[in-house]
Amino acid sequence: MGVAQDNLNTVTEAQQASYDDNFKQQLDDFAQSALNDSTLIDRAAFDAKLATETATGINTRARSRAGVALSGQAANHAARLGDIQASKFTANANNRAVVAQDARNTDVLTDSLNAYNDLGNAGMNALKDSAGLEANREAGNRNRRAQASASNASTVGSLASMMIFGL
Amino acid sequence: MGASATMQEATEQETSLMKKGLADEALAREKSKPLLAEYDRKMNRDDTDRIAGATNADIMQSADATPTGQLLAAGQGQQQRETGLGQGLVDGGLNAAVASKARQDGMKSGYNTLGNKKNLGTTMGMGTAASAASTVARAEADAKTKENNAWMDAMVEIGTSYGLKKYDDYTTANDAYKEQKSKKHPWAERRGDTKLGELRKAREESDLFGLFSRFGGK
Repeated sequence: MGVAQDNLNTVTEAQQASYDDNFKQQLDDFAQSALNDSTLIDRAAFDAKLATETATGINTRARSRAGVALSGQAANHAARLGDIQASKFTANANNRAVVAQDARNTDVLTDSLNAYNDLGNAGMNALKDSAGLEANREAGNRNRRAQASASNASTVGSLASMMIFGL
Repeated sequence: MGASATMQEATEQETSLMKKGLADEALAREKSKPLLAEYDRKMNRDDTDRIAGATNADIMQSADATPTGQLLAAGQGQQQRETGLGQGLVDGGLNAAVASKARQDGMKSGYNTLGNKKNLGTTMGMGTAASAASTVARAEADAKTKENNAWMDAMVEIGTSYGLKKYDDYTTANDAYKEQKSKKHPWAERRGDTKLGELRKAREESDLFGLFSRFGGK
């Protein structure tokens, strides 16, 4: 094998190893996240929970400007306001998170499908090249087989002629 | 022993290339399957209600309305008036429907583009396969022709040799007969010259006598 081919083989093997080590699993994981990722929704749920707890804390520690604990109707009003704000935040965050998560997962889905399509095309190209190489090899073999047969025919003809003249 | 052709075997590189091609294509197809199913589900899902619901909920909350919508109309005493919230909900719903439809159209367009790419790949693969098969078939036909011509040449050579040999036999017998005949009396054979008769018989019994005496006789 020639030096150029040796070099090409070495680089190709290194590239294959690099792909296997660094990209193959990453692509699979990325593609899988298009089907099951809920990071944004989880984050919204966490924020909503935090907001609810914060509101509850504010309600229970509600004070007037003078630092006196609210009581009676004033305390109820403050608690109601806190609950409303928390509830609004929660519903809003969840709604937006669901839509945002779906948009993100759809983008990843599209990118991943295109990436796998490129991979499939690379495979097809390799198979097409293989088919071409095989066809050339097979054509060459048949040509050589025919040449050998033709050579045999010539030999047979010559031998037969010599025998005929020798009779 | 006749000549035998050495056949070119597939190199290791060629075999590796084929294995890699098969593996890559199979992996891509396997990994794409669940993604395509999810894509199909998403692009055929009407999200209008879902997005409109989320949008309307946001609108209601921004207006401090409760989920039952008591603030669609607000007023004091008997002087009630529109809040504009209803119109906001209509606009929001319409925007959501447009956005949903655009999203579906975009996904379907992307799906069709991908399908076209795959179909093109399949067509090109078939083209390569047909070209390869044609190359081999042409080589096979050329080889058969070469073999047939060679064997035909050999047969002609043998036939020619056979003919020359027989012609040589004929001319030898013919010459011997004519030489003896020229030395003797014209009626010698009729008078019982057996030697001359044997030579004539040998000449007439030689192979292909009729052919040579008519077209190549002396």
